[in-house]
Amino acid sequence: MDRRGFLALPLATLTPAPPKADPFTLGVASGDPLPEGVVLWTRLAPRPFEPAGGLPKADFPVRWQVAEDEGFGRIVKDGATTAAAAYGHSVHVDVRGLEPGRDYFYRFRTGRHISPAGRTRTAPARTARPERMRFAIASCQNYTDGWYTALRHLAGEDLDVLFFLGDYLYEGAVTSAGGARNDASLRLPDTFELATDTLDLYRMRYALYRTDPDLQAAHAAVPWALTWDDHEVQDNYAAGVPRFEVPPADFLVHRANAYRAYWENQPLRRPRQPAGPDMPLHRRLRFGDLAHAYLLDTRQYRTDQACGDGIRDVCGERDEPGRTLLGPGQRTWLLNGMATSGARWNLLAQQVMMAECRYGGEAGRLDMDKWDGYPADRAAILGTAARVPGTVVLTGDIHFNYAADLRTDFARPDTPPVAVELVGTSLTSGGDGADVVPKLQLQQRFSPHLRFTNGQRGYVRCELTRDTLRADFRVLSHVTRPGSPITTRATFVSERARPGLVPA
Amino acid sequence: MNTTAALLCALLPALPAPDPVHLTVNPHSLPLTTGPCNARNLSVRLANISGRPVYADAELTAPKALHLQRTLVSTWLPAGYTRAVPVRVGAATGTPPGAYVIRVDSGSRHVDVPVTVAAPPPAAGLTTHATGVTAASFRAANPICDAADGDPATFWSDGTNRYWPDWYQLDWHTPVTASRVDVTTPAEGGLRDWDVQVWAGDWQTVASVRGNSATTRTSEFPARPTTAVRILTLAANGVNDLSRIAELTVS
Repeated sequence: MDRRGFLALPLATLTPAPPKADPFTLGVASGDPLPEGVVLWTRLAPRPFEPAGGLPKADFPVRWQVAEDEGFGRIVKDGATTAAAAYGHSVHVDVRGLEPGRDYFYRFRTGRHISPAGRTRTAPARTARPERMRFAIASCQNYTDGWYTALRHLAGEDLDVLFFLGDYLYEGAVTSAGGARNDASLRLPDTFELATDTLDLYRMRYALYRTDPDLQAAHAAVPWALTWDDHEVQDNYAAGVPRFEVPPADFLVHRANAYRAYWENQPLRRPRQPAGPDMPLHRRLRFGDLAHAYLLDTRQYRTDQACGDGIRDVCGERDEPGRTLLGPGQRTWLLNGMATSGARWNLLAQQVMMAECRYGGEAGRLDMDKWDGYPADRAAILGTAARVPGTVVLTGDIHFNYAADLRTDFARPDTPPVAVELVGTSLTSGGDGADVVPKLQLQQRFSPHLRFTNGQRGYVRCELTRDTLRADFRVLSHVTRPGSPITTRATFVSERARPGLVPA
Repeated sequence: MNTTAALLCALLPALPAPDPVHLTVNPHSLPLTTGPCNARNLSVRLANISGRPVYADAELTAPKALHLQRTLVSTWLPAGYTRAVPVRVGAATGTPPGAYVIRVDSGSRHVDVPVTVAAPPPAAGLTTHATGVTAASFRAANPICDAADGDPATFWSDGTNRYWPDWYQLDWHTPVTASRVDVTTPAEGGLRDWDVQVWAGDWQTVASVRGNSATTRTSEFPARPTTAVRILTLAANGVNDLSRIAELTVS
């Protein structure tokens, strides 16, 4: 091969012309703050509703900057990276060398295009003794159920971190007008009518979600620490067991595609990357000695739901030895971490409701998809919480707000709680919702440790001090039309030394 | 490896590794009738013939006259694993009859699939001749065309639980004469109550069905020209959650 022949082809693919149209249609994000750094994320997609974002199968050079000021006058870090076609043209920069506990601004550039700027915040120093930490929990943002008004409000809160607790996207069909959004200007191609199962379809679905300006604003305002629930793969899947009858090998390929797209589209570090259908998502983030956050994964390692899943009155299978929600490895890691952390608070950021939740009926029916279907793992965690003060469980999944006291024996309301749980409602999933939901009132009657319930959309804003947790349940009046105002529906506090949620 | 081979290896530029993925497309040729619900599937099969897992892509290209629901298939493939993905191919009403080619590429391999497009035969039913098929909403697993594909084993269902009414509609560019509607509904959770409506400047109810429990129900009415017929669904059997229609035929 002569020199010209050798150079011509590889060069064409190594240095493609930069995209002509703005490739930063999906915004920017930061995540998993450390004392010395954060992960910065973006993805190039000049035509976000097309396969591969409208880009050819080529890699694009991207530059990034981190500054102390919004005007990028004092740049403290910068560098070059690559948006690789093999990673759906996503960009992950694991920035280090920053100062702990302070705000930074960041942006990306490719060719003549500059991304919108994002704001992020590093975690306090490992040895710091912070007086306060502010965070929010959010989950369940089905695009087709409404507008992301809650995220627009969230972007205006002053937070150290947002814990996103799963169901970032939904796998079902999206109509041309985006379902309940009924947005005729959207004009989505019919590719979005396909349920996501291959990598190209998941990449397109993430692109659709990320085009939403309110979601972009929330990502650009605060670092996110994310975990997933089921819909990032498929409704109510359990480890290798799908919801529908398909061969296990086929479902693992589906899961591998979903996990890969998840990593590509979230601000996660390289060690979290999947290997085929396996992705180590559970991890710990530290906020000085004030709080350690455990991001848990209750989907990938769980035993299949007992008694065929669903809400059951009698189910002996749930008590069978060996059944687990966390899997042995994650459970041991969590229990050791809680027992030895030395932090004032241990935050368990996870998916499904931990408090016992009786659905009524003579035997007090329980949901087999939740911790109620896995009582052994719950007993182990609450047993540890009884010895280590400051455990707060943060939950998503069910599209309702709950404030719950956690006891080692829920049948004995006379005993003191050992921990508290905040179940955050959905951002959109389930549509407009209502303040009072008869089903929830029934659950409260059968489960007196449920101190509060509400069925509106929104998120939970929290503040930790050395001794107190404060939680504001922030709710919207509607999501099927844009522009709802936000109000604080209820505020609860709990003391570290004497856990138990009481109205503030 | 002997010395000569080692020298050759050192001197020659590295040869590209053999393609780990084998591409096949079925059927090898595709007869296609124009119309929104007369689309057919191509099955794109990607087989990993190597000994390690790979991420593989297949790209599809077609002339503008043909509509591909997707033009890319990307998937992880374990060693030795084959994934087949259906790709829906359609031709809108009015597409010039004739021969077309869809090209499928994966790595260095490619497959050409000849497509022959024809208008529906005159003897085909009015559902086959419909130029528009729409519904209030749908689910990914139960798309709109599943009630207009001649296959009673598949069904359309709307996408909003316990929300009524829903509708399912056939349109024609040029007026047709309608005097009979057959609604086939699944045995489980099938339709109970609905109105049959024809378009005459506004929707006019020409027949109403109440309390149905049969899987197929025929409604007859005085013959009239129209450009659209719709089923306004009002209630279902069982838990009364969704509208489900397995087949809608108009004659």
